[in-house]
Amino acid sequence: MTDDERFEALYGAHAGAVLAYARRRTSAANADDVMAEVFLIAWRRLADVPHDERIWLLGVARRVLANQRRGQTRQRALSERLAPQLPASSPPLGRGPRDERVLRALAGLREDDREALLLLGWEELSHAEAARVLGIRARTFSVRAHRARRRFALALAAVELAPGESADASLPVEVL
Amino acid sequence: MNADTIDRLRRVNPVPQDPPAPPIGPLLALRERELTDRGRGWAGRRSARRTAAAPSSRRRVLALVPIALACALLVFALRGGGGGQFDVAAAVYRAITPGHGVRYVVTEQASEADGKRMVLRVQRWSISDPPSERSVSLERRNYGPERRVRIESAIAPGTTWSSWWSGRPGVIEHTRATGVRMNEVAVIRAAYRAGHLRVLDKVHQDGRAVYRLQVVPPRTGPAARSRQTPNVLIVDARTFVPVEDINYGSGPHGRLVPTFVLRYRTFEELPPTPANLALVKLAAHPGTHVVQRR
Repeated sequence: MTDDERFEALYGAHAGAVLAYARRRTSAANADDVMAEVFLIAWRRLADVPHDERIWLLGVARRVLANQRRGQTRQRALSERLAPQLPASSPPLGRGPRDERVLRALAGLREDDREALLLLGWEELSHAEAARVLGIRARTFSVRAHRARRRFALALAAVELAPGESADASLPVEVL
Repeated sequence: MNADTIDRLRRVNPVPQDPPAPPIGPLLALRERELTDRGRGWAGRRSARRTAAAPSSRRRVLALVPIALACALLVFALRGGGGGQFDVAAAVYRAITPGHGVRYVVTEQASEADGKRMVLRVQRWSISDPPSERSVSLERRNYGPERRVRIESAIAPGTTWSSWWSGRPGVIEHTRATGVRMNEVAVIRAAYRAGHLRVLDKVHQDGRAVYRLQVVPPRTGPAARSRQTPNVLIVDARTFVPVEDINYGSGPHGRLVPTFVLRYRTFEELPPTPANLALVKLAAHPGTHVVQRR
């Protein structure tokens, strides 16, 4: 298989997953750019792409997004984005008050806690896979996920106990 | 993590299914462009190695140092002082890519024929997520009455967008259409992705340094245009935001002549405050007559 064929196969197999990962974390317009950058990096480092291609690509996407956040002073926080609107490309979900509370609780978490939970809940990765995306050991990830789950439960309880607008005020909003 | 927590997270997943992969064409174009640039870089390095390894003496090499320094300074100056790897087209792309705030753009387009002059001034507020925009157009003429046209639209996800159009006081006409709406900035972004945004030169215009770039509209995709006549985009050399977009058409003897110039009076990103976000929404005022149109 030539490099071109391998690259096109890589794109065909994983572009959707990378795009979905990006759209869950940034605007629809920016997600396209993130995906393009991820695959350009993949092209440059085609020889380094390991067997678990999807996990490697998601790790690259995470770093591309992190670099963008560092470079953009006016980046609106994911915590602000999560609650009010879904990405433009997503089908409408029948979100009720319970779902809104989950989003509020997620928005109140620290970034590393939130990412650990989202890799498990949204990307549906195993602990070992999520650890590779984050570039940490599986055992370290398991500890992080355990703590994140506990903090998420506390945040959720706080949101459910504080109805209406007071829920916003009770949770710190982290600016990414 | 227990199953209940996972289930609750899954329920709020904004993208529950992986979207279909976009066409690979634009990405391949970007890659080709990178390969071309890389090839140029390698050639330069090989040439430098040959110079350094030339059997002539150290004195000849030292004699080349001032020339090399002068060349480096020239490249530095031409590229706006951004360093050897600085990519002006990429900087323009970054400057015009929507952020999370409210993009506010004011453009003016002037035309004149037989002594009749008309200036169309458009103010546009837009956000990228969910894609929506509102614009207010004002037509000023040196003949006839002033005409004020207000066009407001809310673009729905995917390929459907609906719009509200109001040309008469107190009347809002609501239309719904399918298709992808691409404004001129989106065309520039698409051209960059396809590798068709090329720097022509750096010049001074109206007392400031600007870059001139050639924009070739993509042949396929939502930004495709029936005519492939390239535009010339002029951007501020410091901020890289558009200053002018010069459109060309076919003139006498097949020559390209400027048909109109779109001048950007304002190009900025407002913070996403509730007040600014409200600028992209059209609200029917009490007493407004809403007309539904197909």
